[in-house]
Amino acid sequence: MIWKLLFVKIQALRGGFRKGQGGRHRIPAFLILSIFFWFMLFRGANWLAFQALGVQLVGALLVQKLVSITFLVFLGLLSFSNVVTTFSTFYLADELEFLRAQPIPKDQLFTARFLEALGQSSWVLFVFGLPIFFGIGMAVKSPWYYYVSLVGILIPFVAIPTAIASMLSLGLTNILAADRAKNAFMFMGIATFAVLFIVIRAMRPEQLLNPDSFESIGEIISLLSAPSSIWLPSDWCVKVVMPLMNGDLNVDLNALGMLVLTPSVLFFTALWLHRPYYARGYSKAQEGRHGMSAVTKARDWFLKRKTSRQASLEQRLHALAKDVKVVSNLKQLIRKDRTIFVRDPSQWSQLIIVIAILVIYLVNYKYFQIAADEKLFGDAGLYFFNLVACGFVIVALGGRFLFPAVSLEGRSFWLIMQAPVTLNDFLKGKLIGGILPTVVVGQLLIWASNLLVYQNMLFCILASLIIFIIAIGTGAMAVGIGAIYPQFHNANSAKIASSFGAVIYMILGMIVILVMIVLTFRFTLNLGNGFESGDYTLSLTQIIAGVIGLITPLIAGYLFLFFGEKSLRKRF
Amino acid sequence: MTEQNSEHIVSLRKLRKQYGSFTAVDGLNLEVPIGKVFGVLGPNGAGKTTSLKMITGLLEPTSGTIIIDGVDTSVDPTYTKSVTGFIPDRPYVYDKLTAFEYLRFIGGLYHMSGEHAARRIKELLELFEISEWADGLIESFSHGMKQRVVFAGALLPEPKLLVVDEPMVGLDPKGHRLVKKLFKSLTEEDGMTILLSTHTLEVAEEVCDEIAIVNHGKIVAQGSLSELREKSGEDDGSLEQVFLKITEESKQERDNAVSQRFGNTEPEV
Repeated sequence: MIWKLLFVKIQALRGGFRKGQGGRHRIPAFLILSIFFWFMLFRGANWLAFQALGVQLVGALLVQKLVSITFLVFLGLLSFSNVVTTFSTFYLADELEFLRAQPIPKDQLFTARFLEALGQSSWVLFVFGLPIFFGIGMAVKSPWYYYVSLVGILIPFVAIPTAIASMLSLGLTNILAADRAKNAFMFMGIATFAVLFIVIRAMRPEQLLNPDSFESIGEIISLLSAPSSIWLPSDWCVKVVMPLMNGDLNVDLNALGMLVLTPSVLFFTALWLHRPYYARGYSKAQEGRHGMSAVTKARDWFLKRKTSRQASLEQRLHALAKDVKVVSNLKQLIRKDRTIFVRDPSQWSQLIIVIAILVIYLVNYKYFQIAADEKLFGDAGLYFFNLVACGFVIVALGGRFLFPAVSLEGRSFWLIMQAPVTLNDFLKGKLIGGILPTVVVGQLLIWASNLLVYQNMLFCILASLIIFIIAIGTGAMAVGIGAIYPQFHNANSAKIASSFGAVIYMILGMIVILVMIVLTFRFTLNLGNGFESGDYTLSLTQIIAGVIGLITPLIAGYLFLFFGEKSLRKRF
Repeated sequence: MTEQNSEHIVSLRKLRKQYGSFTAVDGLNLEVPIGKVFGVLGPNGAGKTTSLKMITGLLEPTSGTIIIDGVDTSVDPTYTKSVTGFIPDRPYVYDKLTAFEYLRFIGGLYHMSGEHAARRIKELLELFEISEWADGLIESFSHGMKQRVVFAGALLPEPKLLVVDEPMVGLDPKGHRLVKKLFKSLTEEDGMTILLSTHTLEVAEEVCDEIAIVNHGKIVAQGSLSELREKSGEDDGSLEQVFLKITEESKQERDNAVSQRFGNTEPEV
């Protein structure tokens, strides 16, 4: 039965790739981009491990730290994706109503949903995590069994967050009396933020960038070899992986035991807990859909207050009638999206992610500044590193707020299609309505970070211009790619933001930023340095490359909006 | 392309919609006269909804021409959409808006002036008896209430053509009566044309001035109820009997249709 339930999902997935479903180009597009990204990650990890090995005395320990950080980052990502996926797989999926009405034994339904959530939330690790471990292994010249064992290690590693998340969502739906399912998402979002923050801070990357701050070599060795926490699954993985990587079959049996037994114990505990409590939790999550919670009550109260303060319906109609202007459709599209965002708690949880990104960025930037002081990067290096990092933050924000914009029209999209509004205007409305937070955050970050290290004013202005162009260009890309890969059936913006299309957008967005920074490198550097030396000389090639670099994101944005419109049109 | 045709609001010429090897609509020719209630009937999968969706701009035809109010939809879709209102069978609308906000939004999409929008919103809220709920979020409405909001939204810009897919789904008997009365008054008093697809033969019998029966993507019969009776040989029959007679098919024909649609067996010629 379990396999039948899973097989049906695989068939549905395969159906989505059928020619008639507009999925003809999805597999090749995804494969090409994945191979490119896979190769970049492999090369990057390989290069980094190679450099680390070159550091005398602590080279091997640095590699171990690199592996440890990789596992920790993936643990953080898995915690987040599992929270989102598990909740919707167990409580919100459309087919649950049908499945629960069928004579499917409880344990089998649980196992099938568990495996589905596991697959959905963990595929990224297998696609994008393996090249990192392979790259490090190649640098260390690991034996063949290291590569084979990785699969065996990663499977229990990914199962742990899924089992914990399934129990967490079970607890939430049972404890929070008749609470809205979406409110629970907010709670989980905050919990995930806390986990992510702890994970990032546990890495203490700043100390690796600033070796001079250590009192002695002994202290460095002690920091590098210290486990992050014996309770973290990532630490167990490191203890099993490291000996294998170095050709030693004597792995830490204690860690191996923990790694294998913990997911098994957690899975059976979750299964055991789901037997009596799942039906109750599911039922409460459905009650929650119809608005019983404190947040819903508060929202309705505000709504009532707002409308009554604005006067009676009669008076509002009178005010509307006095408005001589034709009601603009673009303005109405933007106003509608804004109103829905304010009233939909599931979209607010996205803000928590934004806060997490900003805090992590600023906290870590302080340490990059130390690195610059120590001449590890140099001022120019720090400047460009900051541009790239800030660009990536903007891409991430675009993925959170602009990519899901088209999909969030959901089943109401027929209204747009049959209204006298062109799809071009519709996509423009989505871009204009959602671009402001990205532009503002981008400008705040770039000005704050550059002023913090006293970059000269011309560098600051150039960076601001570049980040502004990136925000507009990648924002348009997010809307366009969101229209190429719409998920009208998916009402959860967090899930849309971590879907297949979102991964494609993130990869393409990062590529566009790198291309832009590379092309404008000499142009920016010469102008910025000229502010102090008075020599603004630029060769014709540098000017041409600079201009092409500056318009690259805008062209990419325009093209993806165009393709998005065409794809939406073709879809119907 | 602009065509002057004062008698017909919709003209379909060789309209075709193909999904891979399956032909959902197969060279449909149809003229819908102005100011009438025109019903499209047919068994499941006959191509009714696909045809209506192409007329409203929700689907692109594979080939053929759709003329609405004298304008080709492929030449000026914004105009043809501006004179067309659509009511789908399932009322999916923005749940997080209030009924008033939803109607104001529709007014914006159709470039209505503030004065016009306000007047129509007031009229329609009263007509569909939803004034009291104007400030309530649509998510808190029942299916029937949502359907009323969708009706109000479609009628707000006073379209020349109203396309309705299964108008009675989710409506209570009172709603049924209201809609039937409304269709009559919209055509007779306001000169609007209503193009509807339905399975409720009683509704078609009661409100439609003209009926087209579609099967396998083609029109198999068209005319008033009395003309259809004559055509089917069921002179005293109800529309149900007429419909069953006209859409009757042999096992062989059915097998061929299934095989054409799903491609699992070779169709017999």
